[in-house]
Amino acid sequence: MKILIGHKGNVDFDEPIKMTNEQKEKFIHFMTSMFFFVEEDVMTMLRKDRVGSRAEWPRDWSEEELALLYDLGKDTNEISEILGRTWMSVDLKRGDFIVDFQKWLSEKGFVMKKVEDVKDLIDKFLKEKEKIKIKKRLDKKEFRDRLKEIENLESNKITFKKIISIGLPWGGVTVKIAKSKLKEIERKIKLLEEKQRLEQHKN
Amino acid sequence: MKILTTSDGYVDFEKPIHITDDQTEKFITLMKSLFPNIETKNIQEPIKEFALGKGDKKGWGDLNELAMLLGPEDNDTISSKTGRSTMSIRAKRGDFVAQFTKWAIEKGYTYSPNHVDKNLIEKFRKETKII
Repeated sequence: MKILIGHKGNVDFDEPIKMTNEQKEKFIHFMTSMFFFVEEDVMTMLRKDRVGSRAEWPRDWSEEELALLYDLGKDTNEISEILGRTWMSVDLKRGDFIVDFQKWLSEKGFVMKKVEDVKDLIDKFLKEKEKIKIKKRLDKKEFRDRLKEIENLESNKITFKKIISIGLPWGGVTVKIAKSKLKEIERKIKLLEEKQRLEQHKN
Repeated sequence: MKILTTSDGYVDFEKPIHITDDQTEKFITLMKSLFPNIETKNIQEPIKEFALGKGDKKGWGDLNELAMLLGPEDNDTISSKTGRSTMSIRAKRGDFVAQFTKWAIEKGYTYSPNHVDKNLIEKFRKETKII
């Protein structure tokens, strides 16, 4: 087993390491003592690509790490060191995050008088952002589902129209059933379109 | 950072970790104490093109530009107004906004992205000599 040391400061294993519970405990204890935020995640598959195979290794930012970006008593170097992230990634994220956070503070009318006020406010900010993110995700999903439903209805509409125009049953659907289904589909499409129009108007 | 583990006892990093030389040394010492046969191998990493010197070389002395960094506009808008790359704006924002905010709070000044006072930026520059 090998520890890979990249020339840009990225450190990795050459493959996952089999550890006993005791070794794992010591390893995690060490990592926790050196870094600000360490969490364990149980997986079924581990990654194959290793340091040297890519120029960048973007990682998601946890709430705890984001809150640290607003610790104005720490400079970017210090934050980079305790997060195990590059200086550049911390600097870029810090700019994005602080500006977003301050815009939010200003919209909400919050005035920060002391650096210590920040923790509660960040918590509120992140919770609100998460709610917006979830809502956006749900809206997108709803839109996709609705689109799919309309596509299915349109495709069925064509089939039923064909049965009606030929005047013969097909696939177990009689002309009478096709006529009633067609009416139903047209009514449903109208309703979906109306709903969409109302929503657009609302937004 | 995330440490990934499997039910059959394998441990890995979610992604490589970026650490200082001092941290690397401590890390190797720990790993060698746990696994005496572990070896180290130096690796040449690929470099992204923007890091090879295509960046923004203009200084950041203009008060209007600094005020934009503190303001509410997004990076793309500031980029088109200043002719600087989005990357350069993001990088400067991280550095400048954090320092300025810290200074303003310590001095008891209040500012919001919607009301950026250029005189305050000038004061910051004179006092801190950072920019």
